[in-house]
Amino acid sequence: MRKLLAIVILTFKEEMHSKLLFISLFIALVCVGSSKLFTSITPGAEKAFVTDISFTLIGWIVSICTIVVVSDIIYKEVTNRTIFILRTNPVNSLQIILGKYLGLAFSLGLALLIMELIYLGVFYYYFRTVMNDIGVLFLFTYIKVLIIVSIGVLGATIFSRITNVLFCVSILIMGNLTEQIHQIAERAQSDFSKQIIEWSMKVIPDFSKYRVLEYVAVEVDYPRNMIVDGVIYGSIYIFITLFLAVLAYRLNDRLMEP
Amino acid sequence: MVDMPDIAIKTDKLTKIYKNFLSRKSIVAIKDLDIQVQTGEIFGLLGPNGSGKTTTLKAILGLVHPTKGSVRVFSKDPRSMDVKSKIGFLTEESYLYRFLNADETLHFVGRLAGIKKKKRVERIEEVLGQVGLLDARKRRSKEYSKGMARRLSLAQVLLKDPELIVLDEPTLGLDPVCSREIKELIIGLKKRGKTIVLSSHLLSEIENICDRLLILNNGVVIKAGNADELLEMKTKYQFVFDSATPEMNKAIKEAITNKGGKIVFEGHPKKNLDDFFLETIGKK
Repeated sequence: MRKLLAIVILTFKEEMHSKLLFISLFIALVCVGSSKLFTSITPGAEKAFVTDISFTLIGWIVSICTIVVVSDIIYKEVTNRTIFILRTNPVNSLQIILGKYLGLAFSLGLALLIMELIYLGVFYYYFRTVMNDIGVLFLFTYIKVLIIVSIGVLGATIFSRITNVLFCVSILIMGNLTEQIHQIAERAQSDFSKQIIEWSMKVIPDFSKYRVLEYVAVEVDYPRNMIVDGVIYGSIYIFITLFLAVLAYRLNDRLMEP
Repeated sequence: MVDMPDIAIKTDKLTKIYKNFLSRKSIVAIKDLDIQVQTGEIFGLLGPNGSGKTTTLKAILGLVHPTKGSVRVFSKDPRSMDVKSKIGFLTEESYLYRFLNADETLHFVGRLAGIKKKKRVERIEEVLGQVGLLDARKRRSKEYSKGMARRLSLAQVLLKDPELIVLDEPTLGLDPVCSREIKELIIGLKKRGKTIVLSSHLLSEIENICDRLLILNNGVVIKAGNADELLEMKTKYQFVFDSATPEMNKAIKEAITNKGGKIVFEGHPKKNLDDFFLETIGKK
Protein backbone atom coordinates (compact mmCIF):
# COMPACT_ATOMS: atom_id res chain seq x y z
CA MET A 1 0.00 0.00 0.00
CA ARG A 2 2.89 2.31 0.90
CA LYS A 3 4.50 1.70 -2.50
CA LEU A 4 1.27 2.31 -4.37
CA LEU A 5 0.72 5.51 -2.40
CA ALA A 6 4.27 6.66 -3.25
CA ILE A 7 3.55 6.37 -6.98
CA VAL A 8 0.15 8.04 -6.59
CA ILE A 9 1.71 11.01 -4.75
CA LEU A 10 4.56 11.25 -7.27
CA THR A 11 2.17 11.30 -10.23
CA PHE A 12 -0.08 13.83 -8.50
CA LYS A 13 2.88 16.12 -7.71
CA GLU A 14 4.17 15.80 -11.26
CA GLU A 15 0.83 16.88 -12.72
CA MET A 16 0.56 19.74 -10.23
CA HIS A 17 3.89 21.02 -11.60
CA SER A 18 2.59 20.84 -15.15
CA LYS A 19 1.39 24.09 -16.69
CA LEU A 20 -1.22 22.27 -18.74
CA LEU A 21 -3.72 21.89 -15.91
CA PHE A 22 -3.49 25.58 -15.09
CA ILE A 23 -3.88 26.56 -18.73
CA SER A 24 -6.96 24.33 -19.03
CA LEU A 25 -8.41 25.88 -15.86
CA PHE A 26 -7.88 29.33 -17.34
CA ILE A 27 -9.56 28.30 -20.62
CA ALA A 28 -12.46 26.83 -18.65
CA LEU A 29 -12.78 30.06 -16.65
CA VAL A 30 -12.90 32.15 -19.84
CA CYS A 31 -15.34 29.81 -21.63
CA VAL A 32 -17.73 29.34 -18.70
CA GLY A 33 -17.47 32.97 -17.67
CA SER A 34 -18.39 34.22 -21.13
CA SER A 35 -21.21 31.70 -21.74
CA LYS A 36 -23.80 34.19 -20.41
CA LEU A 37 -22.89 36.58 -23.23
CA PHE A 38 -24.41 34.19 -25.78
CA THR A 39 -27.72 33.51 -24.01
CA SER A 40 -29.50 35.90 -26.37
CA ILE A 41 -29.49 33.01 -28.88
CA THR A 42 -31.92 31.11 -26.65
CA PRO A 43 -34.25 33.65 -25.01
CA GLY A 44 -36.16 32.17 -22.08
CA ALA A 45 -33.73 29.27 -21.69
CA GLU A 46 -30.70 31.12 -20.36
CA LYS A 47 -30.07 28.71 -17.47
CA ALA A 48 -30.26 25.68 -19.75
CA PHE A 49 -27.96 27.37 -22.27
CA VAL A 50 -25.30 28.30 -19.67
CA THR A 51 -25.37 24.80 -18.13
CA ASP A 52 -25.35 23.06 -21.49
CA ILE A 53 -22.56 25.12 -22.99
CA SER A 54 -20.49 25.10 -19.77
CA PHE A 55 -20.60 21.35 -19.25
CA THR A 56 -20.04 20.58 -22.91
CA LEU A 57 -16.98 22.82 -22.89
CA ILE A 58 -15.73 21.50 -19.53
CA GLY A 59 -16.19 17.94 -20.83
CA TRP A 60 -14.11 18.60 -23.96
CA ILE A 61 -11.44 20.71 -22.23
CA VAL A 62 -10.90 18.12 -19.53
CA SER A 63 -10.98 15.26 -22.06
CA ILE A 64 -8.33 16.86 -24.26
CA CYS A 65 -6.28 17.79 -21.21
CA THR A 66 -6.56 14.19 -19.98
CA ILE A 67 -5.37 12.78 -23.30
CA VAL A 68 -2.36 15.09 -23.43
CA VAL A 69 -1.42 14.36 -19.82
CA VAL A 70 -1.91 10.60 -19.99
CA SER A 71 -0.39 10.08 -23.44
CA ASP A 72 3.19 9.59 -22.26
CA ILE A 73 2.63 8.77 -18.62
CA ILE A 74 4.73 5.60 -18.92
CA TYR A 75 7.10 6.44 -21.78
CA LYS A 76 8.09 9.66 -20.04
CA GLU A 77 9.67 7.46 -17.36
CA VAL A 78 11.58 5.58 -20.07
CA THR A 79 12.76 8.65 -21.96
CA ASN A 80 13.80 10.41 -18.73
CA ARG A 81 15.29 7.09 -17.54
CA THR A 82 13.55 7.50 -14.18
CA ILE A 83 12.06 4.07 -14.93
CA PHE A 84 15.28 2.71 -13.38
CA ILE A 85 14.16 4.05 -10.01
CA LEU A 86 10.90 2.14 -10.29
CA ARG A 87 12.31 -1.03 -11.79
CA THR A 88 15.24 -1.45 -9.42
CA ASN A 89 13.05 -1.21 -6.36
CA PRO A 90 10.68 -3.90 -5.09
CA VAL A 91 7.65 -2.58 -6.97
CA ASN A 92 5.48 -4.69 -9.28
CA SER A 93 3.74 -3.79 -12.54
CA LEU A 94 0.32 -3.57 -10.89
CA GLN A 95 1.57 -1.01 -8.37
CA ILE A 96 3.15 1.07 -11.14
CA ILE A 97 0.07 1.06 -13.41
CA LEU A 98 -2.44 1.53 -10.60
CA GLY A 99 -0.30 4.21 -8.96
CA LYS A 100 -0.03 6.16 -12.21
CA TYR A 101 -3.76 5.75 -12.83
CA LEU A 102 -4.83 6.92 -9.37
CA GLY A 103 -2.36 9.82 -9.40
CA LEU A 104 -3.85 11.04 -12.67
CA ALA A 105 -7.38 10.35 -11.44
CA PHE A 106 -6.79 12.60 -8.41
CA SER A 107 -5.06 15.40 -10.28
CA LEU A 108 -7.60 15.47 -13.12
CA GLY A 109 -10.41 15.09 -10.59
CA LEU A 110 -9.10 18.16 -8.77
CA ALA A 111 -8.92 20.11 -12.05
CA LEU A 112 -12.46 19.02 -12.92
CA LEU A 113 -13.71 19.97 -9.47
CA ILE A 114 -12.23 23.47 -9.84
CA MET A 115 -13.81 23.83 -13.30
CA GLU A 116 -17.16 22.79 -11.91
CA LEU A 117 -16.80 25.22 -9.01
CA ILE A 118 -16.11 27.91 -11.60
CA TYR A 119 -19.35 26.91 -13.34
CA LEU A 120 -21.27 26.96 -10.04
CA GLY A 121 -19.84 30.37 -9.19
CA VAL A 122 -20.67 31.81 -12.60
CA PHE A 123 -24.16 30.28 -12.60
CA TYR A 124 -24.93 31.51 -9.09
CA TYR A 125 -23.56 34.96 -9.90
CA TYR A 126 -25.92 35.33 -12.88
CA PHE A 127 -29.04 33.48 -11.68
CA ARG A 128 -28.79 33.41 -7.83
CA THR A 129 -29.68 29.70 -7.86
CA VAL A 130 -28.20 26.31 -8.78
CA MET A 131 -29.56 23.63 -11.12
CA ASN A 132 -31.13 20.46 -9.72
CA ASP A 133 -29.20 17.19 -10.09
CA ILE A 134 -25.95 18.99 -10.78
CA GLY A 135 -24.16 16.32 -8.69
CA VAL A 136 -25.02 13.62 -11.25
CA LEU A 137 -23.55 15.78 -13.97
CA PHE A 138 -20.34 16.13 -11.93
CA LEU A 139 -20.23 12.39 -11.29
CA PHE A 140 -20.77 11.37 -14.91
CA THR A 141 -18.22 13.84 -16.25
CA TYR A 142 -15.71 12.41 -13.79
CA ILE A 143 -16.48 8.79 -14.70
CA LYS A 144 -15.93 9.67 -18.36
CA VAL A 145 -12.57 11.22 -17.41
CA LEU A 146 -11.65 8.07 -15.46
CA ILE A 147 -12.51 5.91 -18.48
CA ILE A 148 -10.36 8.09 -20.77
CA VAL A 149 -7.49 7.93 -18.26
CA SER A 150 -7.68 4.11 -18.21
CA ILE A 151 -7.64 3.99 -22.02
CA GLY A 152 -4.72 6.44 -22.06
CA VAL A 153 -2.78 4.38 -19.51
CA LEU A 154 -3.36 1.25 -21.61
CA GLY A 155 -2.21 3.12 -24.72
CA ALA A 156 0.82 4.46 -22.82
CA THR A 157 2.01 0.91 -22.15
CA ILE A 158 1.94 0.10 -25.87
CA PHE A 159 2.37 3.22 -27.97
CA SER A 160 4.65 6.22 -28.13
CA ARG A 161 3.20 9.62 -27.19
CA ILE A 162 1.88 10.73 -30.61
CA THR A 163 0.39 7.32 -31.42
CA ASN A 164 -1.26 7.23 -28.03
CA VAL A 165 -2.78 10.69 -28.53
CA LEU A 166 -4.25 9.52 -31.86
CA PHE A 167 -5.46 6.28 -30.22
CA CYS A 168 -7.19 8.13 -27.35
CA VAL A 169 -8.73 10.80 -29.60
CA SER A 170 -10.15 8.11 -31.92
CA ILE A 171 -11.63 6.20 -28.99
CA LEU A 172 -13.01 9.43 -27.48
CA ILE A 173 -14.72 10.41 -30.74
CA MET A 174 -16.08 6.92 -31.40
CA GLY A 175 -17.22 6.63 -27.78
CA ASN A 176 -19.30 9.77 -28.23
CA LEU A 177 -20.79 8.48 -31.50
CA THR A 178 -21.90 5.01 -30.38
CA GLU A 179 -25.54 5.54 -31.34
CA GLN A 180 -24.57 6.62 -34.86
CA ILE A 181 -22.17 3.69 -35.19
CA HIS A 182 -25.00 1.32 -34.16
CA GLN A 183 -27.12 2.78 -36.93
CA ILE A 184 -24.29 2.25 -39.43
CA ALA A 185 -24.04 -1.39 -38.27
CA GLU A 186 -27.76 -1.90 -38.83
CA ARG A 187 -27.50 -0.51 -42.35
CA ALA A 188 -24.33 -2.46 -43.20
CA GLN A 189 -24.71 -4.65 -46.29
CA SER A 190 -22.43 -7.54 -45.42
CA ASP A 191 -22.62 -9.64 -42.29
CA PHE A 192 -18.85 -9.40 -41.94
CA SER A 193 -18.92 -5.58 -41.73
CA LYS A 194 -21.80 -5.80 -39.28
CA GLN A 195 -19.85 -8.25 -37.12
CA ILE A 196 -16.74 -6.07 -37.19
CA ILE A 197 -18.68 -2.96 -36.17
CA GLU A 198 -20.58 -4.79 -33.44
CA TRP A 199 -17.40 -6.35 -32.10
CA SER A 200 -15.63 -2.99 -32.05
CA MET A 201 -18.62 -1.49 -30.21
CA LYS A 202 -17.92 -3.91 -27.37
CA VAL A 203 -14.38 -2.56 -27.09
CA ILE A 204 -15.12 1.14 -27.47
CA PRO A 205 -16.55 2.83 -24.35
CA ASP A 206 -20.21 3.73 -24.67
CA PHE A 207 -20.32 7.37 -23.56
CA SER A 208 -24.02 7.58 -24.44
CA LYS A 209 -24.63 6.01 -21.03
CA TYR A 210 -23.44 9.28 -19.51
CA ARG A 211 -25.62 11.61 -21.55
CA VAL A 212 -27.39 13.13 -18.57
CA LEU A 213 -26.70 16.75 -19.52
CA GLU A 214 -29.68 16.86 -21.90
CA TYR A 215 -31.97 16.10 -18.94
CA VAL A 216 -30.27 18.19 -16.23
CA ALA A 217 -29.86 21.32 -18.40
CA VAL A 218 -33.60 21.52 -19.08
CA GLU A 219 -34.50 20.33 -15.57
CA VAL A 220 -36.25 17.16 -16.73
CA ASP A 221 -36.09 13.93 -14.67
CA TYR A 222 -33.51 11.50 -16.02
CA PRO A 223 -34.03 7.71 -15.89
CA ARG A 224 -33.11 6.74 -12.31
CA ASN A 225 -31.27 3.56 -13.33
CA MET A 226 -28.81 5.70 -15.30
CA ILE A 227 -26.64 6.33 -12.22
CA VAL A 228 -26.32 2.66 -11.23
CA ASP A 229 -25.82 1.57 -14.86
CA GLY A 230 -23.25 4.29 -15.47
CA VAL A 231 -21.25 3.55 -12.32
CA ILE A 232 -21.27 -0.24 -12.88
CA TYR A 233 -20.43 0.08 -16.59
CA GLY A 234 -17.61 2.56 -15.85
CA SER A 235 -16.14 0.42 -13.06
CA ILE A 236 -16.10 -2.74 -15.19
CA TYR A 237 -14.66 -0.92 -18.20
CA ILE A 238 -11.90 0.68 -16.11
CA PHE A 239 -11.09 -2.59 -14.35
CA ILE A 240 -10.72 -4.51 -17.64
CA THR A 241 -8.70 -1.73 -19.29
CA LEU A 242 -6.29 -1.47 -16.36
CA PHE A 243 -5.93 -5.24 -16.24
CA LEU A 244 -4.94 -5.17 -19.93
CA ALA A 245 -2.58 -2.26 -19.21
CA VAL A 246 -0.76 -4.32 -16.55
CA LEU A 247 -0.46 -7.24 -18.99
CA ALA A 248 0.76 -4.97 -21.79
CA TYR A 249 3.28 -3.36 -19.44
CA ARG A 250 4.70 -6.75 -18.50
CA LEU A 251 4.90 -7.88 -22.12
CA ASN A 252 6.41 -4.70 -23.52
CA ASP A 253 10.14 -5.29 -23.69
CA ARG A 254 10.93 -1.61 -24.11
CA LEU A 255 9.38 -0.92 -20.71
CA MET A 256 10.66 -4.06 -19.03
CA GLU A 257 14.13 -3.68 -20.56
CA PRO A 258 14.75 0.07 -20.47
CA MET B 1 23.41 -7.54 9.06
CA VAL B 2 21.29 -10.10 7.18
CA ASP B 3 22.85 -13.54 6.80
CA MET B 4 23.88 -13.84 3.14
CA PRO B 5 25.12 -16.76 1.06
CA ASP B 6 28.84 -16.65 0.16
CA ILE B 7 28.15 -16.10 -3.50
CA ALA B 8 26.34 -12.86 -4.20
CA ILE B 9 26.12 -13.17 -7.99
CA LYS B 10 26.50 -16.15 -10.26
CA THR B 11 26.01 -16.11 -14.00
CA ASP B 12 26.10 -19.22 -16.12
CA LYS B 13 26.78 -18.88 -19.87
CA LEU B 14 24.93 -15.57 -19.75
CA THR B 15 24.16 -14.35 -23.26
CA LYS B 16 22.14 -11.36 -24.36
CA ILE B 17 21.34 -10.74 -27.98
CA TYR B 18 19.34 -7.64 -28.80
CA LYS B 19 16.99 -8.38 -31.65
CA ASN B 20 15.50 -5.96 -34.07
CA PHE B 21 12.26 -6.02 -36.06
CA LEU B 22 10.88 -9.53 -36.74
CA SER B 23 13.26 -10.94 -34.10
CA ARG B 24 16.28 -10.94 -36.40
CA LYS B 25 19.55 -11.05 -34.50
CA SER B 26 21.20 -7.68 -34.45
CA ILE B 27 23.67 -7.13 -31.60
CA VAL B 28 25.36 -9.71 -29.40
CA ALA B 29 25.82 -7.63 -26.26
CA ILE B 30 27.31 -10.38 -24.07
CA LYS B 31 28.21 -13.97 -24.85
CA ASP B 32 28.66 -16.98 -22.55
CA LEU B 33 29.55 -14.87 -19.56
CA ASP B 34 30.46 -16.75 -16.40
CA ILE B 35 30.84 -14.53 -13.35
CA GLN B 36 30.97 -15.36 -9.71
CA VAL B 37 31.01 -12.51 -7.21
CA GLN B 38 31.66 -13.29 -3.55
CA THR B 39 29.80 -11.43 -0.85
CA GLY B 40 31.75 -8.54 0.60
CA GLU B 41 34.06 -7.97 -2.36
CA ILE B 42 34.42 -5.13 -4.84
CA PHE B 43 34.15 -6.55 -8.33
CA GLY B 44 35.11 -4.40 -11.30
CA LEU B 45 33.82 -4.74 -14.83
CA LEU B 46 36.14 -3.07 -17.27
CA GLY B 47 35.91 -2.54 -20.97
CA PRO B 48 35.59 0.03 -23.70
CA ASN B 49 32.25 1.61 -24.60
CA GLY B 50 29.90 -0.99 -26.09
CA SER B 51 31.77 -3.92 -24.57
CA GLY B 52 28.69 -5.20 -22.71
CA LYS B 53 29.32 -3.81 -19.22
CA THR B 54 25.97 -2.08 -18.83
CA THR B 55 24.06 -5.05 -20.28
CA THR B 56 25.80 -7.31 -17.75
CA LEU B 57 24.79 -4.98 -14.93
CA LYS B 58 21.21 -4.81 -16.23
CA ALA B 59 21.06 -8.62 -16.35
CA ILE B 60 22.28 -8.73 -12.74
CA LEU B 61 19.54 -6.25 -11.82
CA GLY B 62 16.89 -8.24 -13.68
CA LEU B 63 16.31 -5.38 -16.10
CA VAL B 64 17.00 -7.51 -19.18
CA HIS B 65 15.98 -11.07 -19.96
CA PRO B 66 18.98 -13.25 -20.83
CA THR B 67 18.68 -14.70 -24.33
CA LYS B 68 20.57 -17.76 -23.07
CA GLY B 69 22.06 -18.79 -19.75
CA SER B 70 21.08 -17.61 -16.31
CA VAL B 71 21.75 -15.09 -13.53
CA ARG B 72 21.26 -15.75 -9.85
CA VAL B 73 21.61 -13.06 -7.23
CA PHE B 74 21.82 -14.30 -3.65
CA SER B 75 20.77 -17.67 -5.17
CA LYS B 76 17.51 -16.20 -6.46
CA ASP B 77 16.03 -14.79 -9.66
CA PRO B 78 17.12 -11.12 -9.82
CA ARG B 79 13.53 -10.15 -10.74
CA SER B 80 12.17 -11.36 -7.41
CA MET B 81 10.99 -8.67 -5.01
CA ASP B 82 13.21 -10.13 -2.30
CA VAL B 83 16.33 -9.60 -4.42
CA LYS B 84 15.24 -6.13 -5.53
CA SER B 85 14.95 -5.08 -1.90
CA LYS B 86 18.60 -6.08 -1.38
CA ILE B 87 20.04 -4.30 -4.42
CA GLY B 88 20.91 -0.66 -4.97
CA PHE B 89 21.73 0.63 -8.46
CA LEU B 90 23.57 3.78 -9.43
CA THR B 91 22.98 4.51 -13.10
CA GLU B 92 25.62 5.81 -15.49
CA GLU B 93 24.05 9.26 -15.34
CA SER B 94 21.83 10.76 -12.67
CA TYR B 95 18.20 10.31 -13.61
CA LEU B 96 16.05 12.19 -11.12
CA TYR B 97 12.51 13.52 -10.87
CA ARG B 98 13.31 17.14 -11.61
CA PHE B 99 10.28 18.54 -9.77
CA LEU B 100 11.21 16.87 -6.45
CA ASN B 101 13.77 18.11 -3.95
CA ALA B 102 16.29 15.80 -2.27
CA ASP B 103 14.02 15.14 0.72
CA GLU B 104 11.03 14.29 -1.45
CA THR B 105 13.13 12.12 -3.77
CA LEU B 106 14.46 10.11 -0.87
CA HIS B 107 11.04 9.78 0.76
CA PHE B 108 9.70 8.49 -2.56
CA VAL B 109 12.51 5.94 -2.94
CA GLY B 110 12.18 4.99 0.73
CA ARG B 111 8.46 4.32 0.30
CA LEU B 112 9.16 2.21 -2.78
CA ALA B 113 11.69 0.25 -0.79
CA GLY B 114 9.06 -0.29 1.91
CA ILE B 115 10.89 1.61 4.67
CA LYS B 116 8.59 2.73 7.47
CA LYS B 117 8.28 6.46 8.14
CA LYS B 118 10.23 6.71 11.39
CA LYS B 119 13.16 4.71 10.06
CA ARG B 120 12.91 6.51 6.70
CA VAL B 121 13.29 9.93 8.32
CA GLU B 122 16.36 8.73 10.27
CA ARG B 123 17.93 7.09 7.20
CA ILE B 124 17.34 10.18 5.04
CA GLU B 125 19.10 12.34 7.61
CA GLU B 126 21.97 9.87 7.70
CA VAL B 127 22.48 9.44 3.94
CA LEU B 128 22.10 13.15 3.19
CA GLY B 129 24.91 13.69 5.71
CA GLN B 130 26.97 10.94 4.11
CA VAL B 131 26.74 12.47 0.63
CA GLY B 132 26.99 16.06 1.87
CA LEU B 133 23.59 17.33 0.75
CA LEU B 134 22.08 18.33 4.09
CA ASP B 135 22.18 22.02 3.21
CA ALA B 136 20.66 21.50 -0.25
CA ARG B 137 17.91 19.08 0.76
CA LYS B 138 15.08 21.51 0.01
CA ARG B 139 16.32 22.51 -3.43
CA ARG B 140 14.68 20.89 -6.43
CA SER B 141 16.96 18.43 -8.20
CA LYS B 142 16.68 20.37 -11.46
CA GLU B 143 18.71 23.11 -9.75
CA TYR B 144 21.51 20.68 -8.83
CA SER B 145 24.94 20.63 -10.43
CA LYS B 146 26.10 17.37 -12.00
CA GLY B 147 28.10 16.49 -8.89
CA MET B 148 25.15 17.18 -6.57
CA ALA B 149 22.81 15.15 -8.75
CA ARG B 150 25.32 12.29 -8.60
CA ARG B 151 25.42 12.56 -4.80
CA LEU B 152 21.62 12.46 -4.64
CA SER B 153 21.57 9.38 -6.87
CA LEU B 154 24.07 7.79 -4.54
CA ALA B 155 21.94 8.75 -1.55
CA GLN B 156 19.01 6.90 -3.18
CA VAL B 157 21.18 3.81 -3.45
CA LEU B 158 22.38 4.00 0.15
CA LEU B 159 18.95 4.76 1.60
CA LYS B 160 17.70 1.20 1.66
CA ASP B 161 21.06 -0.05 2.96
CA PRO B 162 21.35 -2.70 0.24
CA GLU B 163 23.50 -5.80 0.52
CA LEU B 164 24.56 -5.57 -3.12
CA ILE B 165 25.42 -2.23 -4.70
CA VAL B 166 25.71 -1.99 -8.48
CA LEU B 167 27.48 1.11 -9.76
CA ASP B 168 27.60 1.90 -13.46
CA GLU B 169 30.51 4.26 -14.16
CA PRO B 170 30.30 5.76 -10.64
CA THR B 171 32.84 8.51 -11.20
CA LEU B 172 31.89 9.42 -14.77
CA GLY B 173 32.03 13.17 -15.38
CA LEU B 174 32.95 14.05 -11.80
CA ASP B 175 35.81 16.29 -10.75
CA PRO B 176 38.74 14.66 -8.89
CA VAL B 177 37.44 15.78 -5.47
CA CYS B 178 33.99 14.27 -6.01
CA SER B 179 35.51 11.22 -7.62
CA ARG B 180 37.83 10.67 -4.64
CA GLU B 181 34.92 11.04 -2.19
CA ILE B 182 32.89 8.45 -4.06
CA LYS B 183 35.81 6.03 -4.10
CA GLU B 184 36.27 6.51 -0.36
CA LEU B 185 32.56 5.88 0.13
CA ILE B 186 32.81 2.66 -1.90
CA ILE B 187 35.72 1.47 0.24
CA GLY B 188 33.72 2.39 3.36
CA LEU B 189 30.79 0.32 2.12
CA LYS B 190 33.05 -2.69 1.56
CA LYS B 191 34.29 -2.33 5.14
CA ARG B 192 30.65 -2.58 6.23
CA GLY B 193 30.39 -5.94 4.45
CA LYS B 194 28.57 -4.77 1.33
CA THR B 195 29.13 -6.44 -2.02
CA ILE B 196 29.91 -3.95 -4.77
CA VAL B 197 29.91 -4.45 -8.52
CA LEU B 198 31.06 -1.52 -10.55
CA SER B 199 31.81 -0.85 -14.16
CA SER B 200 34.12 1.63 -15.79
CA HIS B 201 35.86 2.26 -19.06
CA LEU B 202 38.54 4.28 -17.25
CA LEU B 203 40.82 1.61 -15.84
CA SER B 204 42.76 3.99 -13.62
CA GLU B 205 39.52 5.08 -11.95
CA ILE B 206 38.92 1.73 -10.31
CA GLU B 207 42.24 -0.09 -10.19
CA ASN B 208 42.89 0.87 -6.58
CA ILE B 209 39.52 -0.12 -5.18
CA CYS B 210 38.62 -3.44 -6.86
CA ASP B 211 39.41 -6.81 -5.32
CA ARG B 212 38.79 -8.60 -8.59
CA LEU B 213 38.50 -7.44 -12.18
CA LEU B 214 36.89 -8.73 -15.31
CA ILE B 215 37.79 -7.22 -18.64
CA LEU B 216 35.16 -7.38 -21.37
CA ASN B 217 35.45 -6.63 -25.04
CA ASN B 218 32.73 -7.14 -27.65
CA GLY B 219 30.68 -9.00 -25.07
CA VAL B 220 33.25 -11.65 -24.21
CA VAL B 221 35.67 -11.98 -21.29
CA ILE B 222 39.22 -11.07 -22.22
CA LYS B 223 40.81 -11.35 -18.80
CA ALA B 224 39.62 -12.00 -15.25
CA GLY B 225 41.22 -12.30 -11.87
CA ASN B 226 42.55 -10.68 -8.75
CA ALA B 227 43.26 -6.98 -9.37
CA ASP B 228 46.77 -7.01 -7.82
CA GLU B 229 47.77 -10.14 -9.70
CA LEU B 230 46.48 -8.86 -13.02
CA LEU B 231 48.30 -5.57 -12.73
CA GLU B 232 51.52 -6.87 -11.22
CA MET B 233 54.51 -7.14 -13.63
CA LYS B 234 56.13 -10.22 -12.17
CA THR B 235 59.43 -10.00 -14.08
CA LYS B 236 60.04 -6.39 -13.11
CA TYR B 237 60.88 -4.87 -9.73
CA GLN B 238 61.08 -1.34 -8.42
CA PHE B 239 62.53 0.42 -5.39
CA VAL B 240 61.24 3.76 -4.24
CA PHE B 241 63.31 5.26 -1.46
CA ASP B 242 63.69 8.56 0.30
CA SER B 243 66.88 10.69 0.47
CA ALA B 244 68.22 9.36 -2.82
CA THR B 245 71.69 10.67 -3.67
CA PRO B 246 73.49 10.35 -7.04
CA GLU B 247 76.04 8.05 -5.38
CA MET B 248 73.35 5.69 -4.05
CA ASN B 249 71.63 5.61 -7.42
CA LYS B 250 74.89 4.84 -9.17
CA ALA B 251 75.70 2.02 -6.73
CA ILE B 252 72.28 0.39 -7.21
CA LYS B 253 72.52 0.73 -10.98
CA GLU B 254 75.94 -0.93 -11.02
CA ALA B 255 74.78 -3.74 -8.76
CA ILE B 256 71.84 -4.50 -11.08
CA THR B 257 73.86 -4.40 -14.32
CA ASN B 258 76.67 -6.45 -12.77
CA LYS B 259 74.14 -9.18 -11.99
CA GLY B 260 72.84 -9.15 -15.61
CA GLY B 261 69.73 -7.06 -14.98
CA LYS B 262 68.51 -4.47 -17.49
CA ILE B 263 67.24 -1.13 -16.22
CA VAL B 264 64.21 -0.05 -18.23
CA PHE B 265 63.50 3.16 -16.34
CA GLU B 266 65.35 5.32 -13.92
CA GLY B 267 64.36 8.67 -12.52
CA HIS B 268 62.22 10.32 -9.89
CA PRO B 269 58.73 8.82 -9.46
CA LYS B 270 55.89 11.10 -10.47
CA LYS B 271 52.60 11.83 -8.68
CA ASN B 272 49.53 11.19 -10.73
CA LEU B 273 47.68 14.30 -11.85
CA ASP B 274 44.65 13.57 -9.63
CA ASP B 275 46.82 13.44 -6.50
CA PHE B 276 48.68 16.59 -7.55
CA PHE B 277 45.36 18.41 -8.12
CA LEU B 278 43.96 17.30 -4.76
CA GLU B 279 47.14 18.38 -2.97
CA THR B 280 47.12 21.74 -4.75
CA ILE B 281 43.56 22.56 -3.72
CA GLY B 282 44.21 21.24 -0.23
CA LYS B 283 41.79 18.29 -0.34
CA LYS B 284 44.39 15.65 0.35
